[in-house]
Amino acid sequence: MRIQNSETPDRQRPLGADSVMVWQNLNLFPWRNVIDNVAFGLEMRGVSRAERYQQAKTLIASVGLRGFEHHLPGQLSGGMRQRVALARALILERPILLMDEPFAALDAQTKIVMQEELLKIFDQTHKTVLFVTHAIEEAILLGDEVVVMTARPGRIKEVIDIDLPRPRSLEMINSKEFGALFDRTFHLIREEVTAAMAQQAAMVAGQA
Amino acid sequence: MKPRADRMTKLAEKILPALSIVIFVLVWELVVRWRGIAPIFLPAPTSIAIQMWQMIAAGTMEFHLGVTLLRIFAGFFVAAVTGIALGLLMGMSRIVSRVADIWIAALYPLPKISLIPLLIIWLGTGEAYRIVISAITAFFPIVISTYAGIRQVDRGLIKAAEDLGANARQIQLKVVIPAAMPSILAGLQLGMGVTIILIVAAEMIGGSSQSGMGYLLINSGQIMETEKVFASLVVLAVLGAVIIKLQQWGDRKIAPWAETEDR
Repeated sequence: MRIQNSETPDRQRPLGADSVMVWQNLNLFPWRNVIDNVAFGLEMRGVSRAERYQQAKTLIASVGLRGFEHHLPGQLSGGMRQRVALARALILERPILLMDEPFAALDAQTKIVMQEELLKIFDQTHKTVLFVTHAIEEAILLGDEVVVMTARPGRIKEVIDIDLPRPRSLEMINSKEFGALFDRTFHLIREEVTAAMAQQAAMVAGQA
Repeated sequence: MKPRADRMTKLAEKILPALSIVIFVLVWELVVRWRGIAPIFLPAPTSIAIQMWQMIAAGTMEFHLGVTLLRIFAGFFVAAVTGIALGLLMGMSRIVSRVADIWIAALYPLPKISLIPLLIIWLGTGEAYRIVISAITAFFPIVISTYAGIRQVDRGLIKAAEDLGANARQIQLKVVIPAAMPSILAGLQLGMGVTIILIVAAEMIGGSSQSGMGYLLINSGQIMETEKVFASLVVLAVLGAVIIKLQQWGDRKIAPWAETEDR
C-alpha cells in the first residue's frame, strides 16, 4: 500500500490521490440529486453520462437507496444522506477511505444500521478505512486497529490490535473479548481526559 | 392542533386573501354611491372596470402595456447580464472585487432618479434614456447579490469537490455558481422590482414619449380622467404581481433545493 504522507492529510491542500473523504457534515451538493451527487467524481473525470449513471446506480443500490436516484439531499433523512455520501466516495474506487466522525450526527438506531452497512461494504471491498470517532464501541466494532490519541497535542498514544474475527456483527459487543478491549481503550482515554481537564484547570488558574 | 381546526386554518389561509380584496372593493363601491362622491375625485370600482374594458376594447391599454413590458424586459435584460457578469468576476478575482467595491459603495446609495437630468441631457428622452436609467438601478442589487452569493459558498462543498477530483474550473462551474444560484435569483427579483418602478417613472418624466403605462397615468391625470388613472393603476398592480409570481415560480424550478435545504 502506498501512502504519500505519513501524517494526517492537511485539509487545506487537495487530499491524496489514493484516498477519498467522507465528511462529518457530509458536504453533499444540495442542488444535485442523489445520482448526480454519487456520479460527481466520475463527471469530473470526464466519464460519459451513460457510463457514470450506470456505475452510480449500482452503488446506489448497494447502499440501499434504489428508487431515490432523483431525490435531492434535502428530501432525504440523515441516514440516507449518509449513504449518499458513502456511495459518492466509494465510486472513485480509491484504496483508502477517510471518515471523519461520519455517524456522529445520526440517531442511535440509524447509527447501528450504518455501522452494519459499513462492515458489509468493508467485507466486500477490502478498503483501508481511517475512521475518526469518539465512540469506543464503534471503534472496536469496526476496526482492525484502534489508535488512541493523546489530548493536545494530538499524538498517537497507543495502538490496540483488535483481534475479533470477521465478519463482525453487533452481537460481539456482548462478548468477553470485546469487554476487555473496551476496558483497555476506556482507561487509556480516561487518562487523557483527566490530563486534559487538569491542563485546562491550570490554564484557567494561570489566567486568573 | 386538532385536524379539524387545522383544516379550518388552511381553508382560511386560502380564502381570506382573496376575500379581503372583494370586501375592500365592495366597501369602496358602496361608499362612493352612498355619499355621492364625484367620479373625478374618486370613481366607483364599477365605472373603473367599465373604463378599463373600453380601453382594452379600443386597444389602447394593450398598446401602452406592451410598450412598458418591452422596456421593462430590455432594461432588466441589460442589468441582469452586466450585473451577473460583474458579480461573478468579483467573486472569482480579488482585484476586480477590490476595485468594483469602491464604485459600488459610492454609487449604490445614490438615488438613481437623480441621474435623470443628466441622462436626458446625454441621451434625450427616447428609449435609450428609459432603458439606461432602469438598467443602472437594477444593476446594483443584482451585482451585490451575485457577489454575496459567491462569497458565501460553503467552503466544505469546495473542499469536497477538490477531494473528489474537480479542478479549479470545474469547481467554479459545478460548485460555486450553482451554490450561489439562490442568491443570484434573489438579486434578479430585487432587480426586476426596481426596473418596473424606474421604467414607469421614466415614462412619466420623459415627456416627449407618447406611450407606456407611465405616460398613460400622467396624461390621464393631467386631463382629470380619474377612471383612466385608476384603470392604469390596477393594470400596473396586476402586471407587477404577475411578473413577481412568475419569477418566484421560475426560481422554484431553477433552484428547488433552496427551499428543501434544512439549515
